[in-house]
Amino acid sequence: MQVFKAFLKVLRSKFGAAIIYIALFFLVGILMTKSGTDESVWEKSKMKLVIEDLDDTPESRALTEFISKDNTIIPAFANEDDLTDAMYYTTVDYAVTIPKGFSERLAAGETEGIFECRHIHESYAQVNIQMQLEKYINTVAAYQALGKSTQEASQAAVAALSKEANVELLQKENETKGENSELLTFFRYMPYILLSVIMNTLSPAMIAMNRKDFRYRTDCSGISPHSYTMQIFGASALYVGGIWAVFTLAGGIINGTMYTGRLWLAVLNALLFALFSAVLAIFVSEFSPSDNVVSILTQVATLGMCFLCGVFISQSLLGSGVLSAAKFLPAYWYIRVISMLNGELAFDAGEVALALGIEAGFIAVFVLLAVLVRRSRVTSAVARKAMA
Amino acid sequence: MFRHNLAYELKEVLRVREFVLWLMLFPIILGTLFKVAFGSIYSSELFDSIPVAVVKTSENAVADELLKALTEGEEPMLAATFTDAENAKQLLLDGDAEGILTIGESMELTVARTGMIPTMLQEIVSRCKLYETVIRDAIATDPASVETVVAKLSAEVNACREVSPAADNPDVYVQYFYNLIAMVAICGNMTGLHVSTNNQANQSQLGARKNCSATPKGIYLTAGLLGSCIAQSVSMVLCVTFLRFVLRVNFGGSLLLLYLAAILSGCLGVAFGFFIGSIGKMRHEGKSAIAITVSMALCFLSGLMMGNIKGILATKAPWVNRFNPVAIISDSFYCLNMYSDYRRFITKIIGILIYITVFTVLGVLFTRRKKYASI
Amino acid sequence: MKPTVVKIDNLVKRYGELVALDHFSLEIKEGEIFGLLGPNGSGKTTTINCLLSLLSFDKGEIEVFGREMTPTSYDIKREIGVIMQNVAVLDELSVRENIDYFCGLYIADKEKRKACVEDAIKFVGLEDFVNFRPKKLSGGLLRRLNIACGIAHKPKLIILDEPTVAVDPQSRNRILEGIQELNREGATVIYTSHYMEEVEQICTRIAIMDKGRKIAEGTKDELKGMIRNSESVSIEILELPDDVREKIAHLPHVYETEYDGTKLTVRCSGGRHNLIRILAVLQEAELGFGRVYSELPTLNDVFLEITGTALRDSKE
Repeated sequence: MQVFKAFLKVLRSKFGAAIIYIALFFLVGILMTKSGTDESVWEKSKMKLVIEDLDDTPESRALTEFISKDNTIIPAFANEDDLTDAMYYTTVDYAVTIPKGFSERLAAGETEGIFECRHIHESYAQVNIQMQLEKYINTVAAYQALGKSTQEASQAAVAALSKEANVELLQKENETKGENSELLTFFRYMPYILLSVIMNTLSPAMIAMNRKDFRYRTDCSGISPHSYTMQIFGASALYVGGIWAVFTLAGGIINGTMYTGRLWLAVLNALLFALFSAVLAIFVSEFSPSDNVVSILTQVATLGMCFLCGVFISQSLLGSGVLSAAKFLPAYWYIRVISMLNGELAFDAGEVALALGIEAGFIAVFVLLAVLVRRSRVTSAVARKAMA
Repeated sequence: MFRHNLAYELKEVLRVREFVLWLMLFPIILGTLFKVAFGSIYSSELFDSIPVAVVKTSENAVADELLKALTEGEEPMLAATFTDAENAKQLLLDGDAEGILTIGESMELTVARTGMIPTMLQEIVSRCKLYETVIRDAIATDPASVETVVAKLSAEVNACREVSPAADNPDVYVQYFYNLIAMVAICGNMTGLHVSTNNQANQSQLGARKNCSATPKGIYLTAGLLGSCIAQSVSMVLCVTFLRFVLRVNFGGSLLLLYLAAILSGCLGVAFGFFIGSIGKMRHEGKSAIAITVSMALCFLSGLMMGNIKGILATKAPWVNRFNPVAIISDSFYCLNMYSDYRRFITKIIGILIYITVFTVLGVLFTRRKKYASI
Repeated sequence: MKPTVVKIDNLVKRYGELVALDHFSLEIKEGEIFGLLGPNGSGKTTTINCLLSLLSFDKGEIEVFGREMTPTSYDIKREIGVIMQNVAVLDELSVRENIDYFCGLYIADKEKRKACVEDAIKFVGLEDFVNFRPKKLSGGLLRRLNIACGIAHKPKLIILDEPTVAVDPQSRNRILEGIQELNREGATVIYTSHYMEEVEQICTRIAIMDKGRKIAEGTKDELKGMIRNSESVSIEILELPDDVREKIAHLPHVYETEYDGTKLTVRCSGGRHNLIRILAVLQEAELGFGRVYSELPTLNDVFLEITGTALRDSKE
């Protein structure tokens, strides 16, 4: 068990860097999972608005009240630039300024350019809010035409506008919308953290164990190569299993749920991905790069895979070309399973099994590749020696 | 003496395999992946006519009028397909329509999901109710005025006067490229770290040898830093050029200033590494691990992995963005794009310069020591 | 009287509780190959590092070429060549580039430097490897590169700190011959080692260090003359009655006998016919004995007698 123990000790020494990743992940996990919503009943989407009422008259207040009802009002920013930044990063969809003299202009029917508006993205939210504002102005004008004062017209408009059409939300068959969506959001980001942590720790540890002098010394010792491999394998399995268990437990704790029914599929899914990460880490370590190079490769692998396969950005947003390329990466199949569990896609046991099977296939392929690389590197070293 | 040191510093840096891989290959690979992944997302998020299926069960003049107003014009709100109830449902489930408008006594809406587009549809359908209410009120007060009232209601007003900031490229996904450049810049810490390791007698034998030589420490330290900055600048220029001209990422703003910001950012990375390398007695490997992990954490907080984190932080903990050097770097590119006056860009550049100065000065203060208590 | 090159006076260096150098003094004259001999941890490298102004020290004075040595004494440093215990070269640069780089830290003039670099390459015999990266060199060649980097600028004072650790005998001989050659060309050499054979072989003067103190100094003959021991006689003998041993112990010049059941060791100070007298006693007692040999004292004996522990035993 010497090799086993030594390997775990080496792993422990490489673990420092992983802690910061894990801490950040939990932080974000906590931030993100709070935003999950129940999607089984109709609910309006709220727009994020900044309203600045410089007029401060009953008319302008009526408008503010109307707009505030179904939207999220963000407090005004200290300066214009902060507002611009917030609109760029879509923490604010739209900013409206009700200028001084609003009520007079409204009374006079001068509605052209009555609001000062700011937005950055030509988004649906922006079109929607603009539509609401203009609808309001039109309604007030209509009531004014009925001989009401501006103030009365404003109140009548607010009352008339509050009558909304009913919306029927059509449910797809086989759909399990809303069930444990928070926990599944947590699982959705798991490929990133599993790959980051496992590659950043397991690869350097393997490289340390594969170092030429160290290997030679071990090869010369009484331990059989088979036993050596099994011990390394056992230690890696223990480590990867431990990481996976920690995240699975943490997911349950953060979201306050027990794993039941189909959720176990998510757990299995994560285990397969953890194993894939381990195999990839071992494959990379066969080329014995330096620790710095491992860091780069980890960044490329994690960021590339997570963006292409829809970990960070929903698969539904990615183009079909990207997705067909992503099929050659395991994270794509991982996310597919999650999508089927959270109702984004129809649940199909066969499809889930297929996706899990393909993930297992990726593991097998990389095991094979790792073995091949090791063989070729060992033989080429022997050949070099023979020539020398 | 100085030129000799500088020449060898450059020779050495450019032969470090990691340097070439990290700082030259890395942005090329990731940039390409980014381009592939988000090349067209932004345009899909922009407003376009909403496809709807319309099912008519009976005549409704108000609804027809409204629908006509919404489907016509240069940039219509809706793209309507008139069909029967069965087919409409299919269209909705297949995602070919965002909603079903059923026109009968009044207008009804069926959607398959929640979200901004269905919310807009509800807004539109509710207009039908509004017309009914207003017309009813009009009939109650003054039946003759109905026509005027309807005309007022459906009048086209341009109530919103746009005073929006003029972004050269509002595509929010470009910020991933900003962060990619910022990451390459901060990774300059690798070369900066070498400078402090190789020049300190208690960090390496090489440092000891240099300390014994006839060349003053200031000279080879300056040469080392300058050499690293030059090498780093080369990789920054390469990175920006690749993203801009090969991948055709539209950064907006002045390209010349973008290059300048990128180069200064690279120097910030070098200074950061130099600073990390100069504190404490830890060995090079340990410091290198710290530098890279800290850099990655800073990149994360700047939005390299999740684009909206910067927005979240701006509201929850604004000081993080203000002090995170990676965020300052990516913000400098952003400001160049977003603001036509250079006021904010200059603020960011000053922020970068302050970081460079602080890191360098602290680094020099820590390495300035000529004698060591132990080696 | 040749001028003094290095003068260390009452040097004290502490690492916390540990006293690494305890009032250590030294004077080295021009043209010497000065050996600093001592077991690991005796303070040799600390002395060198203090001498080079790399380490701060608690007390004492150091002068090189008659001037005070400080970290900014670049004119002094220009005349010093240092070869550290560990190889200190840049992995990314080739053999020639490495030598040129380090030489350039001393010599600004390009033409002059070029000649120096070529001389250094020839001197260490790396002509066939000039374009190799250090990683491709064998251990011995790497050491030679390390030396070339230290001496390329033709310094007047060369400090070698255990340059032969982990070097094969062939390379070691080459290095030792090289040092003597540099010395013949006029360089003063300070050489530290725990291999006393090397020190005996090349050094003109030697200081022996132990636990941060100088315990003896002089030429090797002077050192050997300092101790009582001038001859050790060893006799393989299986049976030795106490009275016979007693008799041997009382022979003239004999000051110590040691018997472990198979071998009798007799240490004598001075005198000429020690061996014959001892053998006469044994024959008189009609005792049979095996191999007999007589050894002249080595530096190890010097160390042993002064410190009570063998230099060899304290090696790693």
